[in-house]
Amino acid sequence: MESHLNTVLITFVHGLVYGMLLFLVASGLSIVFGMMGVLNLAHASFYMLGAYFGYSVLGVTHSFWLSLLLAPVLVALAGSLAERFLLRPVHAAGHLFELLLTIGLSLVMLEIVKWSWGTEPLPVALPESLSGTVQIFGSTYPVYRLFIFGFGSIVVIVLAGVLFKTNLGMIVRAAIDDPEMVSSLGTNTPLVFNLVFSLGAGLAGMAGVIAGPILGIYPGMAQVMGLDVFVVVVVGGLGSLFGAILASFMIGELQSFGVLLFPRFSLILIFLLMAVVLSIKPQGMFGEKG
Amino acid sequence: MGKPGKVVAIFVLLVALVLCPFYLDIIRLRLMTEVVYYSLYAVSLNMILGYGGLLSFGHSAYFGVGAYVTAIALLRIKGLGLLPAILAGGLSAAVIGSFFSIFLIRVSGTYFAMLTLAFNQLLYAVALKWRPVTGGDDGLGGFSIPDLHLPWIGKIDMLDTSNFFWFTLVVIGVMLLFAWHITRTPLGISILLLRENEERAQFLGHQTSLTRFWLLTLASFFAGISGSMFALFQEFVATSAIDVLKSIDGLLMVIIGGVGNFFGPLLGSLFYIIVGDWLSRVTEHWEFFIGCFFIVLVLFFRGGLVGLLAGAQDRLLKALVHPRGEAAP
Repeated sequence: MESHLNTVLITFVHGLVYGMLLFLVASGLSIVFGMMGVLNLAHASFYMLGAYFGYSVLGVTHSFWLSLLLAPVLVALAGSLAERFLLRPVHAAGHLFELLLTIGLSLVMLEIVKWSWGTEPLPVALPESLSGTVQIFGSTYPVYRLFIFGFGSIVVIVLAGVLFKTNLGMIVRAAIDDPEMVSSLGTNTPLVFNLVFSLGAGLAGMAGVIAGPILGIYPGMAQVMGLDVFVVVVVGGLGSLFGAILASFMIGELQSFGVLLFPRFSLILIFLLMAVVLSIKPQGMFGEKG
Repeated sequence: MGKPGKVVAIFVLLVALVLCPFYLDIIRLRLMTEVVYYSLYAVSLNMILGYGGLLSFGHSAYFGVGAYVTAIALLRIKGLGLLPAILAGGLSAAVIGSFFSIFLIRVSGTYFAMLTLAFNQLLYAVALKWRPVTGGDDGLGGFSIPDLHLPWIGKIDMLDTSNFFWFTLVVIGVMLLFAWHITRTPLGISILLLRENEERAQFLGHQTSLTRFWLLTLASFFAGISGSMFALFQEFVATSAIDVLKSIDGLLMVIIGGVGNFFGPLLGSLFYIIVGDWLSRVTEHWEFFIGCFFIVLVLFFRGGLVGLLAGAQDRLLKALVHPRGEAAP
């Protein structure tokens, strides 16, 4: 009995860790959609880019912490350029073309990655200081996964602080409600959009760096993560940070237990959940725009 | 170009198409066959996107259902005829499409796009996991194209590349005529109203949810037929027939050709298949160029190839009518 309980608890922790990664990627996607009305289908590509940048920075500097710092900054820069020179000119043409543009962008980014780093999965070692194991619930558990959860929690707290306690956060929240009004009150909304877009890309990139050692670095990683993140923002409600948190952990646990209990149907389960939520409440659990 | 000019041009193009087996080698003829059946896939997606103004990210769901059902029917039912196998694919896709549309008629914009993607993924997951029926990762093979039995003419061997090309041309041609006819009916006009202003269409007494239902059902039927032809042509079906990339293929064809124009997707599928094939032979990173091409189109040429052609035609006419470069009135 006790071993069963252990398995359940460990699976639960696994789900929490994966949910945290999902949230880091999903939060940017959700906020960008809330503000700009753009569902960025290239968002998970920034996650992939982060993992690859992290790999290269690690190769040059041999420091995990430097790669965790530098790679997200580079990804944010890429995101900023993509917003300024690709997304913004298309904005006036409507959501349809914006969505199509982000598909094109994801194709290009995928091929650039294959071009620069090859199609083979890249080996990444765990950083030495985090490679140990600890005893929880009577089983050994890798420290690194706990680090992901802890690190992610700090990011969530910082993010919430910025969003709810600073001027910029106030503008962002206002822009989610009514971008036109914010703009006419004298805020440089295009600049705010750009900032938020690159921040979201940077967060996704950060998730890529820390996910690399446990989920692997390979060209298909964007698609795998992209689909789960997509389900998260849809179920949680586009534009809602709280919905994204809740849905991230729901999907994380569903993936974790799904693989354990019904390995053949876990994939179907997740999309079924998404289809059901969308059919009943198209704007998701906490989405406010209909 | 006046109306007679257009008729002549279309006639010349049709004759050139029918005569393809006489001047193309086998590899190019097979490529042309692909162009022909994909053109129906692109046209059916354009009915939703260009006419209905709804972005579907999951059109390969119906293409895939058509392909799988035709393959499964041929494998399981001994002595099944060619036409019933194709019809089974199209009708199953229509049934699935009409079921999904019960949910899809309530949403539009980004939510429509997302729900279509969700349904697409759901069917993809089923195709991947329902191994005993779909073959899972390995796909389904080992069926061959039955001969076509025609009254008076007799048996036609479908394994012959030229025969299959002509057969594809006829099947897809009939379907395209049907689709073209629909755009001219009251239903077609109601679909256009849906795109322009759904609320106003409702005020005018159009039952827009019913219009949407028929639009989605018909479009999935056509996509299913296209998928059936794909299965027959490849003599093999795998999950790549029903994945999101296949949906994106369709979108690319429509965008390249020109959204909202009936002939746009025809040009688009021609361009996409031929250029895609050429690129995949010169570089292994052909998707990079396709992606760039996509971005350039969306940034600068939202009218697609049809828009480019029309623009060139306009400029040519203006140059002829106003040779000194005066602005047209």
